[in-house]
Amino acid sequence: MNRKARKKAIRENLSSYAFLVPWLLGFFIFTLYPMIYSLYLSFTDFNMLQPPKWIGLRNYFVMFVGNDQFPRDERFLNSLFVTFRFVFISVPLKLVFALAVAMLMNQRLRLIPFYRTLYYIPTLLGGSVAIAVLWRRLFAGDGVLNAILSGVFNVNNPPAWISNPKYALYTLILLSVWQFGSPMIIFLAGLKQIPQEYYEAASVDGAGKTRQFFAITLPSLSPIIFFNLIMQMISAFQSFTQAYIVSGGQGGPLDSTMFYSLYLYLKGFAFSEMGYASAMAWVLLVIIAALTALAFKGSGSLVSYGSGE
Amino acid sequence: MKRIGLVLFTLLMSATIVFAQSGSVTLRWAYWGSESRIKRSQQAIDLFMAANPGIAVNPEISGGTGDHFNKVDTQIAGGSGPDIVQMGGNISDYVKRGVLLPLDKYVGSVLNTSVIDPSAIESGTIDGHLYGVSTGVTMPALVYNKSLLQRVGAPLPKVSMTYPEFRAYLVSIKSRLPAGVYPMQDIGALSSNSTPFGYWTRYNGTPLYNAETNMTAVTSAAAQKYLELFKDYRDNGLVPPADIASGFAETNADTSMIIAGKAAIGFIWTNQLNGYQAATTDELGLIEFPGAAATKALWQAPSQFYTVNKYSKNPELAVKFINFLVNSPEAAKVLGNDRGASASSTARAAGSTNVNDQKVLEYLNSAGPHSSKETTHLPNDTEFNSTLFLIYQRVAFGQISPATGGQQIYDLITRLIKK
Repeated sequence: MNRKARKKAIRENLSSYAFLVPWLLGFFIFTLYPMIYSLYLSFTDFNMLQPPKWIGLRNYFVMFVGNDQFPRDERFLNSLFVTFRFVFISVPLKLVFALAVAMLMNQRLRLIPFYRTLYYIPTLLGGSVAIAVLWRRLFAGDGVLNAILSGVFNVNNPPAWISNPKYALYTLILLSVWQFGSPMIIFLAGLKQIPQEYYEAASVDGAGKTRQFFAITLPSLSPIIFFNLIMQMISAFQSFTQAYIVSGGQGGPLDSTMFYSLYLYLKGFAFSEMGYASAMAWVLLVIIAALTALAFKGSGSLVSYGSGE
Repeated sequence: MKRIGLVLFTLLMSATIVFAQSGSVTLRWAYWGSESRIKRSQQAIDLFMAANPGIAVNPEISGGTGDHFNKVDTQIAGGSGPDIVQMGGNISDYVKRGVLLPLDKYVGSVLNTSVIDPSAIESGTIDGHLYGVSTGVTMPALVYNKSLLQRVGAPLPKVSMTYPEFRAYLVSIKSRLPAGVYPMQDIGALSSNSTPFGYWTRYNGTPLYNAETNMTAVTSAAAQKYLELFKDYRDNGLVPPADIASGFAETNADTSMIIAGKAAIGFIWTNQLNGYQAATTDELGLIEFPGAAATKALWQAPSQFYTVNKYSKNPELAVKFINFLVNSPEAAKVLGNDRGASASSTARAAGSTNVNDQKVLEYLNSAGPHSSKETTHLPNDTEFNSTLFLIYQRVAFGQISPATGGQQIYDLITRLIKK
């Protein structure tokens, strides 16, 4: 390479770095630095108004072990439990529901684009405060559901779903399943990718609809199911808004809707224990990363990335 | 020539910007409150801005204390806190953390304290320095739905009752109320439950906290008695079952069981009467907590404080605005008793024609003699509220016995004192 060419290459490199600078700055200032700082904070006692005090591993110790002087945080373990239950019930339900609706939407019918839009709307609304308030009214003791139950079906004294610790979490699971829009759209795109010839060949061989579903649709969709599973799992672990609004920010009744992120928020902002909250954030990161890794490991035999088209 | 014109024009423009900025200062005022407080506060701001050209006041409003303090904490930690911050009983927590400005050097010049009741000044004075100016006094009270009781032909409650009289009264109205409407809201199950609990511990002679000795007089047996009192009400249908009660957060009028028409009696602070009354067409009235007459267990509390952020760039103007809110007759007329009955004689002289303000004054006159000095708030008040709420619910839902609950409350209090 002669000098001229090298100079030119350097200049080109420099100019591409110059173009990258805004992004790099954003990454370092708004992502990397806060992450490292929060890792540091997780080893401190920090009330936001006074400088952080280094306390080593105590925050983590209080979460999982505890002793007489620093008793174990039972509310932490409870929030972990609540969140796991929420994730493991709501995500599979939501995926099944999304796939079922996607298959309906995959037919050649008139007005299909209209229906697709219609069924996507809950996803746009679902995270909103208005829907959470609506949910309260639907499932309250004197709410719409109970009016129907007692008025139409003559049920005596139906429970106040949303303020009863036995049922409150399930109303939130229902709210989450109702927002099936985005996995549905992704499933729909996946369904369109499956070559029609497979189905034609299968029906020539005498395979019924059910057989076709299990032998063609599911295997062909498996990478997409897996993708949706991971994405939905991660976002379910981080759910916050619904529980915050529906329970009035308390995670009640009886901490039955005290999601992990809601408790993190309470600890950090209401109880002024930002160091502890940072430690909780890192524990959540590790949990999500571990579960994702586990999912990838387990997916080997179930997900086929076949040659497709 | 053209160039000179351009330069001159630029200079002129920048001069306008510079002068415009130096001529106008913006104060940020963070407070929480409901619709009626927002309206009243805005009127006061308009009056202040009309009288003080060049000073703008921007309110930063939250619906409740929780949101308010989350927001303010974050802003202060980030170096962008508001100038004037409304504080509640947790003011000492903030003084301890060193984020409030001592106002002593403004007293006499910008802030006229000579017309303010000494007890109100004392309540805002911590470690010998004045940190907060009381917005007025308020008292805990039981609120009852007068129209509802009249509609069903039930007798109205007496203002002062003993606990046995109170229980008998609840029993007497229970049979008249329609199904689904309860004689009383479960006032232990509120998110601000440390006040009813605090009242009861004073009534019981075991106040929550003594700042001098840094100890509590509450024992697990005393806390158990409180849980049993409400268990008795719950078992007899005088307060709603736990799952109904926890459907009403009672953080303000919008989530109130009284306003929803599902209970005849509930708990409020007297300064909330306006906001509650504005949310319903039923007429509301105030009575004392039971047993106050004999024990003087009620207390007058500074409703809130106006405080100044230590990092404010315009502390003097902030104090000037506070002085206007607290002492000026113009502001007193529009603010009324919304942040408590004023502790300033000049503001009181202005009077208020509002019927709710009159009701509150009437209550303060009758309940005043049944009160004694306020108990200092427990350290880490927010966490106390939240966790007491949880323990109370465990008992209400029958998950643990009142005895276990009493022990948990005692452990909680001692832990928060040590924290």
